[in-house]
This record gives sequence, structure tokens and C-alpha cells, in this order.
Amino acid sequence: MRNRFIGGVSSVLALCGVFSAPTLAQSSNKPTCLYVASYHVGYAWSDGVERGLKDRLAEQCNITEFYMDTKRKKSTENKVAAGQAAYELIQDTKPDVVITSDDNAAKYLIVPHLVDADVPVVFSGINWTVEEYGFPASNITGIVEIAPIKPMLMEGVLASKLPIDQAARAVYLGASTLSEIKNYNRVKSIAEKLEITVDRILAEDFDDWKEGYLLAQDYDMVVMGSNSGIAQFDADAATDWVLENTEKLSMTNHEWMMPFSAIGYTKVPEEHGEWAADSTIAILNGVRAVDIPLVTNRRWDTWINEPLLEAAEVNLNQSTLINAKKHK
Amino acid sequence: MGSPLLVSIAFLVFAAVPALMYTTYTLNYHDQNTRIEEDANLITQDISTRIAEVKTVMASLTGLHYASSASGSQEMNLFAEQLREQVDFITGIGRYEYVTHKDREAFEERMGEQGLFNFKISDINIKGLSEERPESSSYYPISMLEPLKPGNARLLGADLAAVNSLGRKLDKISENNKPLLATFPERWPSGGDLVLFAPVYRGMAAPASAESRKVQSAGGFWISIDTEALLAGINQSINAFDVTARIHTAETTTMLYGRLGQEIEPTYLKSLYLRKVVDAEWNTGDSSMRFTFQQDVGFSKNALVYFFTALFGILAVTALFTIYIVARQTAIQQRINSQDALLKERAKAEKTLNTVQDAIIALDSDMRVVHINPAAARQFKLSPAEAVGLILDNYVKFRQVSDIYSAFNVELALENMGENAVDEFDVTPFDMDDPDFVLRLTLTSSVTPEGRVTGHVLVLRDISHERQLAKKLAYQANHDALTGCTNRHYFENTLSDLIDGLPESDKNHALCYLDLDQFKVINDTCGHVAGDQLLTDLTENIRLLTHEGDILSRLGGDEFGLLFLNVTEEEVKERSQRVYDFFQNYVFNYENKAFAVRASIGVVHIDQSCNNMKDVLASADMACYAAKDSGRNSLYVYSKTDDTIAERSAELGWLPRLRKAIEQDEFKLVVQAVASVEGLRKNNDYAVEHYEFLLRLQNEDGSISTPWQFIQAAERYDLMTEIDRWVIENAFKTVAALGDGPGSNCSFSINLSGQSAADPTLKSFIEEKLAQYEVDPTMIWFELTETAAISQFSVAVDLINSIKSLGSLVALDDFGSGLSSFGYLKNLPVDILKIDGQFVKEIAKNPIDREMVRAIHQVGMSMGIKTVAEFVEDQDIVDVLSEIGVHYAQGYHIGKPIPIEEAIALLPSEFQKAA
Repeated sequence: MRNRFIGGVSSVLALCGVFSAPTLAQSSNKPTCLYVASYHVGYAWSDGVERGLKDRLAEQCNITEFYMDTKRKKSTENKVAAGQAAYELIQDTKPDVVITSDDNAAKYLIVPHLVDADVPVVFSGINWTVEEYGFPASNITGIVEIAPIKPMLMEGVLASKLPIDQAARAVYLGASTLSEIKNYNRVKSIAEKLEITVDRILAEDFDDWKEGYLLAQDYDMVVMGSNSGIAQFDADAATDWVLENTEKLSMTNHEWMMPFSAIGYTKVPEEHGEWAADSTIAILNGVRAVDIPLVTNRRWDTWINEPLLEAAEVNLNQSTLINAKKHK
Repeated sequence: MGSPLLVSIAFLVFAAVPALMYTTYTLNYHDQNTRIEEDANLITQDISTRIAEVKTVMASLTGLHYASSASGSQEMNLFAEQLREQVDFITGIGRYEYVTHKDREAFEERMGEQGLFNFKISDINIKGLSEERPESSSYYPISMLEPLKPGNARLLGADLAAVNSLGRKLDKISENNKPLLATFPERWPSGGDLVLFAPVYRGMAAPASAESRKVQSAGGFWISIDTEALLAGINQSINAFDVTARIHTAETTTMLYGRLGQEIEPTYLKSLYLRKVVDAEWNTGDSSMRFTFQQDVGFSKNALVYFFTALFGILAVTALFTIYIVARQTAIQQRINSQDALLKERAKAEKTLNTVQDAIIALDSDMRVVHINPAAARQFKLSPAEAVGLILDNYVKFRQVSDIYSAFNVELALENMGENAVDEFDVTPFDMDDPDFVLRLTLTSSVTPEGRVTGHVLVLRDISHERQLAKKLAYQANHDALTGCTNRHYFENTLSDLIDGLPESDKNHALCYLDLDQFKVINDTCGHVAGDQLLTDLTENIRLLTHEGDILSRLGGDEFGLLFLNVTEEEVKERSQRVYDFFQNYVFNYENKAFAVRASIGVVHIDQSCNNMKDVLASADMACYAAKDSGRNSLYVYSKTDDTIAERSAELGWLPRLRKAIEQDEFKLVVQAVASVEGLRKNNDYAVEHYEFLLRLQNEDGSISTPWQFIQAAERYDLMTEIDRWVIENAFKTVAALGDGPGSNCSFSINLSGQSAADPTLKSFIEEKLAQYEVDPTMIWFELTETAAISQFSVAVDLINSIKSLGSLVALDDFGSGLSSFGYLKNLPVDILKIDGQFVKEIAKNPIDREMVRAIHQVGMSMGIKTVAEFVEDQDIVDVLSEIGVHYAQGYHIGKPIPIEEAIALLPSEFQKAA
């Protein structure tokens, strides 16, 4: 009966997201967990989160997935509807734990529907802070996503080999979007504690970006923001461009920007999925969500782009060179 | 018996076993104690190594704290994680900080900025849940935790100073810069684990003074350790120990771990074990961790094996000793019993000896009499009491029967016995004149296993009567009771010895074989007494004719043999002639009757050409037979080239041949057709209605012998009965083989000899074979010759009636050959007359023969008997027979004897099909 009902609501849910129910074979005696992803299947970040989640949780829990698809359907109406649909699914299926990934699930599902609800909630992938969502709450715990900005900047200072009495100067090159402005502000805030000044160049289109890159070579280091939102961005041309015009060390916190950056400090999405899985298991074993402190991610991957390093004529410390992943 | 056994048991119980147990226990305890100490040393070394690993980790953490600014950062987390993974029994690594109440808010804010968003200095209540820490002058909150798990994340912020007495201890170790061993409360994550705390300070190193350390305190690091895991990986011998781990401080002792070791085998001896205790301590100054290992010092397997082996050894020795004592006493008792029994047996034996009729004298090794029984005392006229102690030879002397002229030396005879314990001699007492009195002396010596002679026994038995009896029997075996001359047994033995001695001798001998003529007449006319008288008288007379050394023997009823020894041919001739001459004039008178008794005499020379006794006797028999054939009362000297002898020899030659033919089935049957005379006359053809089986002998060279060649020999050697039976069985087999085919509507005749006519078992044989081959008896005629039937008339009549009772017919063969044929015919119940061929073959030319045949036929007709004419050799004979009315004809005109297959093939086509 329950499965027939799930089949019925799934067609409605398909309007705003993608829903997959566990098979009958899977549903035997295990608790049920609903995983609500902000994005869609195929989005690299949330795929990594989901992989880490399922690796640890699949044997403990029958997992049902719901994909809000808010990366491709960006309108506020769609996001609200997806959050509503997810909530209706929760009401219908009454899972033992709800797990979410990334900000839109927190914003459009947890905040309007699940704060102090009966069902425990474990979030993951919320960027930088939970203050805007009012967390923690009695039924909510999770892991916050922070970019490894500090180690990235420290590596840049060391590599710049500036005189000890000279403060380093950096420039942030990204898209001219609200999200990038937020990112710039976080970098700037951390850089200030390291006595690094950070300017910003935010490009509207590809030409702006190329020109900005030339201008950036006047700084001690270049922080490569996201290219998401830059019109006519040509990745191949950008690769050639930076290789021809690189003079200074460039760095990024986004793995997809590694073709244009000499070093990278990027988050590990699986860490978020694994923590969410461990928290879910603890909750299923009787630990209250409120007793599990909110944490941030503590792991990152280090990358190097050897042609750009050579072009910048930068000597990184040996341990970084040995341990960092190489970008092809 | 009881005393030595009790001594053995007492020795075992009071001396050997306790000594053995004490020795075993002492040796074993030393060995086991040493082993346990060695094991404990290995274990404490392992523990020390592990503690050193923990200290190293702690040193690394504090070192990093002083060496870099990474403390509290994500790098420290990563570093702690890697350290923890190096040591498997470390369950967690943490950092706690020293925070005054004044700095509390700033501290919590700073931790929030580092990503612990809801970080608050907290207390973990009795339920294990995190709650806000009440205000205090200072705090020791945990700021870093590795591994950080949702299950233990509530430790972040937990104030160690809130734990009973732990805050004071942390203050103290901070002042003293010494580590502390303690535990987290049970309700905490990792509660119950051993926790090592170590203080750190602001700056690059720990301050030198206590005052400075108090001011510069920056909290410290802690490492939690799973005690069980720590002990699990060390030397396996730990499993044998009871293990406890306790934390000792000045105020308290906390039991951290306890586990019982394997129970020491064998458990039934557990009460005997002492306990060995070994401690290992980790002392940090204000606290210490003490590991205690305890184990019972049990018995090793070797010790048990040694103990039980020795115990069983003692038991075995005791048992063997006891068995020896018992066996020895039993043997003594048996010897006493044996001696008693021996004395009884001796008394019994002496009593028995005294009643024995044989004379028995027992001597010692010096030939002195030890015992003499009454019979011996009588024999040698001695008193038993006086005889004892006498030297035997002085009183008893013998002569050996085989050498009556010299004394028999008993002592010498005993010496000569050698290894033979018994010897026998026939002796006679030296003073005995009676030559027939003989004693059988049996000498026996008693010899020990070593060969020493201890005494002798002489047994003397009177065998005079036995010897006389033996002599008499020997005489009777070789002599004829009637005549007193030697008998055939003696004669043949003597003759055989003579022939055997011929090759080594140049002497020749001769055998004269006498067979009285007409002896039967005297027996029949005057009775057997007269016959016996004649033989006795004759023996005495012939003996008078012999020379010294000649041997006269009665060989049978009226047959005598006379051996002339060492004679020339002339002497043989002269002596045999003298015997012959004697018989020409000898007259036996009995009851006023006088009989001229004559003899047929055969003489054979016994020379180098003779092979054996049987040949010589056979030659003598042939010579005697030849003498009889020559008219009796004659003398015939055997010669191999003589015709008469040759004929007789030829008959003898048939004997093995016929035997072989019977045994190897070398006879064969042919048939000669018998046809209806009427049929022959009417159709000028013949209609065979009958066949006569005729016997043939197949020779090795392919030739065939007919019965007339061997039948005389077969009758002489009584083989005809066997031959007739062969013919009967094979004839039946042949008839049976015809089945319903050609010739099966004919009848068949089989000839029987005169010897078979006298065989009372022939009827049952015929009956058995008829049944075996399923032959219709009415198809069979049995032919009996007239002479055979008449010579044994009564038995012939019985046979004829028997055969007829079976359903077969009987034919009288060769009728007319005897002179009295008609007279006998009246009383012979035959069915067919076969007219002798001598009347038939000339019947066409000789009117007398014709009338003879006619007469026979008419007599047969009047008796209802059918007639068969033999020797029918041409058509003229057939015509005459037809005119007379003879029923059947047989002869070469109808068919020669041929194999039955050929005869059947000759039948006209209409006869080839069975009716």
C-alpha cells in the first residue's frame, strides 16, 4: 500500500524533481533515510557527496533519493516548489532521518518545514555559515562547507618569497556575480589576518576575463574565482591564454578552475557525505541530533598545474610538490 | 606369601611414592617457575615497548605544539590523525586548553570562527549529554579531537576541570610538568579508557619554574588508550596469566582491566599449585599504571609423564617382585606335591611290578640290583630281599639264542646301546637245557638330559610259546595241509627267487608241471576222501622220485609243480621221464577199486632267457595244455617254436588286445540283412525285414578281425560277457539313432554267447539299456547258439523266458549243428530257428540237405516257430526254400555284412521311408 502511494506521488514530484524509491528487496526491516539533493544527478559536487554518503550508509538504511534540480531550474518558484515537494514526500513516507546536501535544500526545505520538527535532519554542504538559516536546532546537525582559503593563501605567501617586511598583494579574478562577491569577501577577510591585501577583478565576459588576467600579473599572486556566470567563456582559449600570459602564481579553491590555475586547494565532497552518514548512523543508534556538534570539513585536496608553475617560475616547497595531485 | 607383598606395598607407600612425588614436584616447580618468569619478562618488555610508543606520540604532539603554530589548526588535526593511525591501541588524541573565565567568551567565539559554530564550554552530565558549563574560575575545555566522530563530537568543549578531581590534577601536572595517568568518566565517550595527559605551555618550551609554568599554562594533550587492545598484541604467553591493570594515584586506585587466564591443566591437581605473581609498572610520578600477571605453577606434561612413568615403573617392579615371590613359593609347593605324588606312584608301580608276569630287574649304574619283582626272583631263584645290592652278572647269566655257545654280556649290551634307550635280545638262561625255552630280554637305561646313566631296567618275558606259534604259522603258510608238501605260495616265491638269481649264476633249472588226468572221475565216483587219499599217496610217491634239493609243491586241486634245481638238459630229460614213467604204472587202490591215475606233464627249462615267474608258469601251463591236447598222459617239453605252443600263445596274445578293445571302444558293428523268402520269390526282389548285428574288431593297421579269430580266446579268458554287453549297448544305440527314419520299421537281432547265457544279471542289464535308449523291445531278437543253450540248458531256459518277458524274441542259432537238437528244442521256448548253414548252402543240389531243412521247418511250424535259413548264396537256394516254406533267408545273396548306414541306403525307396 505504501509503495503504491509512493508510486502515486512520484509522478507529481517529477514536475519539480526526481524521486527514486527503494526496491521491495531493499525495504526489509531497515530504517528509511531520505536523501534530498539540491542539485541533479551528474552534478560533480553533489555526486561526490552522495557517493560518500552511500558508501557508509547503504548497509544501515534504505535510502530514498530526491533531487531538487535547482542548479538547472534556478527560478525561485521552482526552488520553493521543489522544497515543498520534498516536504510532502517526507510527510508521506515518514523517513527515520532526512539528509540534505547543499544550501538550497537547507533554504527551501529545512528552514521552512523541518526546524524543530520530529524528524531528525542532517545537512551537508552548507557554504561557510549556518547563521542565515538559524541553525542549530533541536533536530538538526550537520557539516558546514568551508573552502581551504587559509592554507592556499599561506602557500602563496611562502612561494612569493617576498621580503619579510613587504606585505603580499593579491587579486581575486572571478565572475561578476553576487556569489563571487561573497567569495571575494571571505578571501579578503582571511587574507587580512595574514596581512595580505586582496583586490578584485570581476568579469562580465570572456574578454573581460582575459584582460583581467593580464592585469593580475601586476600582483604578487592571483586568486582564481569561479568562471560560472562569465559570458562566452571559452575554456580551451582560456587555457592557451593563461599559458601565454602567466608571470605570477595563480591559485584557486575550485577544482574546475585548475586548467587556469597553478595551484589549487579544493574541498573533498565525499567528506561531507561520510560525515552525514556517520551522523545518521549515530542518530539511528539513539544519539540526539542536538548532541552532535556542527562541524566544518577538515580535508582538502592540493593540486598543481605544472606548465603554469613553470611559466610563473615559482618554486613551491618540496612537500607540496610531492604530495599534490597533478592536473593534466 | 603375604609378608613380602606387604613389604613391597609398604615400600611403595611410605618411601618410593612420596620421594617420587617430592622429586617430581621440586624439579617441575623450578622449571615452571623459570618459564613463567621468562614469559612475564617478555610480556613486560612488550608492555614497556607499547608504553614507549604512547610516550613517543605524546612527545610528538607536544613537540609540534612548541615547534609550530599549527596547534589547534587543521594541520594539527591531520597530524594527530596520522599519529593515531600508527598505534592501533590509541583510541583518541585530544587537545585541551587552559581558559580563564575572563577569556571564556573570546575563546568560544574563536572556536566558532574556526568552524565549530556552536562551540560552548560544556559539561557532560550523568546521562552523557552535553550541557552548559556553569561559571568557574578556569576551564580545561577540549578543543581538538581526533578522530572526530558524531558519536564523540560532544567532547569538543567538554571541560575536563568539571570532572571530579581531574581539574586539580591537571593543575598539578601543569605546575610540575609531568604527565598524568587517569581515566575519563564512564559516561563519556572513551569512558573507562586509560588516558595520558601531558601539559603544554605558551612559548617554545616548558618554563623552568613552577611559578612560570602556572602562569604560562596552555592546557595540554591527552591520549586515550584501549588497555585490552594494548595487551592483545603482545606475547601470546599472556593468555596463560590472570591479568589486571590498575591506575594508582595518591588518593585512589582504579581498576582498569581484568581478565582471567587459561586454567592450568590438569585441574584435578590445582590445589597443589603455587601462584606466581609478576608486576609491570608505568610510573609517571603522581600516578602509575600497574599491570599484574598471575599464574599457577602447575605441572608440565613432561613432569606428569615422568611422574606417572616412574610410578608405573615402581608398580611394575613391585608387581614383578610379588609375582616372583608367589611363583617361587608355588614352585616349592609343587615340588613337594610332586615328590609326594612320586612316592605314591613309586609304591603303586612296585605293587604293579610285583603282579606282572614278566621278570623285571632294576639296576643302578653299577649294575647292582635295586629292585627285583617276584617273577624275576622265581625265574632266577633269588630272594627279592637278598637280591638287592647284588651285582647282576654274578648271579644271572644268559646265552643269546642266535649264539648259544657263548655267554651274553648284559653290561656290554647296555654299553653298546649308545643313544638308544631301549634294545631287545632273545636269550635263554645259561643253565637251561630246553632249547625251545626263550626269553625276550628288553634292556632300558635311564639317562639324564646331560647324558649320565642313572640306572637300568631288565625285562624278561617268556616268548617260547610265541616262537613256536610263529614257526607253525610259517610252516602252514608254505605247506599244503593235505599232502604236507610245499604249497603254491612257497613254490612261486622259490621260483621267483631262482629266476632273479639267474643273471648272477651259471646254473639252470627246470619246472615240471603235473596235471592229473581224470582226477574228477575219482572224486565223483569215490568222493572227496578218496581224492584226498590219492593226492597224499601220490605226493609221497613223487617225493621218492626227487633228488635232494628238488622242490615238490601242490599248486592247486590236482596240479603239482616240481622244481629241478641246478640241472642240465639231460638231467631234466632224465628226471622228467622218470616222473612220466612213474605215472605209466601207478595204480591207486581205494575200497577195492583200482584207478590207473595218469598225468599230463609240461616241462619248462629255466635259463637266462626267462624273464619272470609268471612267464615261466604260463609256459609250463601251455606245455601242459599241449600235453593234454595230445591225448593226455603225455609229457611235453616247452619250446617257443612249437606250433601247438604258438597257438596257445596266440590265444594268450588276444587277451591284452581284447582288453584294450573293450576299454578303448575299438569294436564296431555291422549288419547283415534278413529278407522274407516269399517276398524274394514273388518280386524277384527282396524285402528286408530284419538285420543281424555282427561284431568286428578294428585293428590299428586298419584291418578288421572277425569273431572267429578271437572268440575262442575271449571265451577262454571269460571276456565274452563284457563283449556281449558292449554289443548290446551299441546295438541299442544304433537302433535308437534311426529314430523314425529309414530302417526304423525293421527288427534287429543280437548274438549272445554261452557265457552270457549263464549270466544272471544280463536281464537287468538289457532292461536298463532298453529304457536308456528308448528302444522298442519287440524290435529286438536275441540269438543263442544251439550248443550254448544245450550245454547250460537250465540257465538258458531262464534267460530265454526273461528276454521274452521283456517283449523281445529269442532265436536259436545254428540249429541242427548238435546231434540232439530236436530233443532239446521241445523244451526251449524260442521264437525263431536259424537253420545251420551247412544244411542250406548245398540245398539246391543235395536232396538230403533239402529234407533236413524241410524237417526242421516242419518241426518249427508245428511249434509255432518261424525259420530262418542261413548261408543263402544264390537264387536257386531261395527257390528251394520257398518251395519248403522257410520264412526268411540270410546270406550273401541277400547281403553281406556292411555298416548300417550303407545297408539303409540299399533299401528300395519305398522302404527308406519309415512306416
